[in-house]
Amino acid sequence: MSNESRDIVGIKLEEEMTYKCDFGKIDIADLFIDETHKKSTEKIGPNPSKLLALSVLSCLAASFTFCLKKKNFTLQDLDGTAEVIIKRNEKGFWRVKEINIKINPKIDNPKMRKRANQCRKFFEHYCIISESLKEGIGVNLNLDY
Amino acid sequence: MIIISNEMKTKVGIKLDESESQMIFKCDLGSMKVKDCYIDEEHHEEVDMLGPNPSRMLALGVLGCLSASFIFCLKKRNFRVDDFNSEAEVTLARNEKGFWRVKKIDVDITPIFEDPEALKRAQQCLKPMKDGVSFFEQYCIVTQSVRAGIDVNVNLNL
Repeated sequence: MSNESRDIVGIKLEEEMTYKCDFGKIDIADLFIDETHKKSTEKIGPNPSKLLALSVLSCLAASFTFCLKKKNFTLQDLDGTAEVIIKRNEKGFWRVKEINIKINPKIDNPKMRKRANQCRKFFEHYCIISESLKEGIGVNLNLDY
Repeated sequence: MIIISNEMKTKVGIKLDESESQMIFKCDLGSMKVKDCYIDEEHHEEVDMLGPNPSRMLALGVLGCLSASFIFCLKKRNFRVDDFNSEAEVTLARNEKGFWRVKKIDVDITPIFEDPEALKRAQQCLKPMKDGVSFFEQYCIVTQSVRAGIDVNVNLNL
């Protein structure tokens, strides 16, 4: 792999605006991306904005946890939320403007808290997703029909 | 999702799973009818993974958004695809400081049409606008935002 790594995912149309995810050999129950239903209670899967938010949130949480683990600290619990703010740009198109992340690790050990304070200073640099999003990512599209 | 005229807000959550590695997270998607969804940063082999890692999740966000925008463009004129597949390849590379970053996402969308009129409409959907970006891509919130860059604000509550 050296200095480059590649991952592939796929989707297939299920119905209307709902897609079934293809994760290759990953053994998971069906995951759908649902742009058909508007009401949360009717949705059978997240929409793309929520997937983006989950990606950023889990990446940051894993980077923080990894930083603690490097010094053999184990969290008792952790939860987090990501709020996605979508606004119209100057041309009137909806765009994701910002994602507000909250990470709540449960720390009740003074030594672990000391390590957590150290991690706070640099763990974000090790999150591939959030740092890449801040700079922007090239998306190349090939629509073949 | 909360819509306030020119602004929309949406929220998701995660919770640490009970695995020993502490690198697996359970998704919280509110009241959606979704079976367990995990994000797995523990395993590296696909056959061992309980769910996607964040890079795959990001790729799905881009892929799902572009696919939905394209199909929406067809549906506006009451056309449908007869079959549809799409794939996204995420390339990670080290930056000049040595940190891994997502360098690019290559998306392949392959719709199949039997109706020549649907094919004609598909070509209209692909028509570039003034800035060179196609009509349907402009309506994909996630892709256009990812291309431009997004502010990510982190609040770590210790």
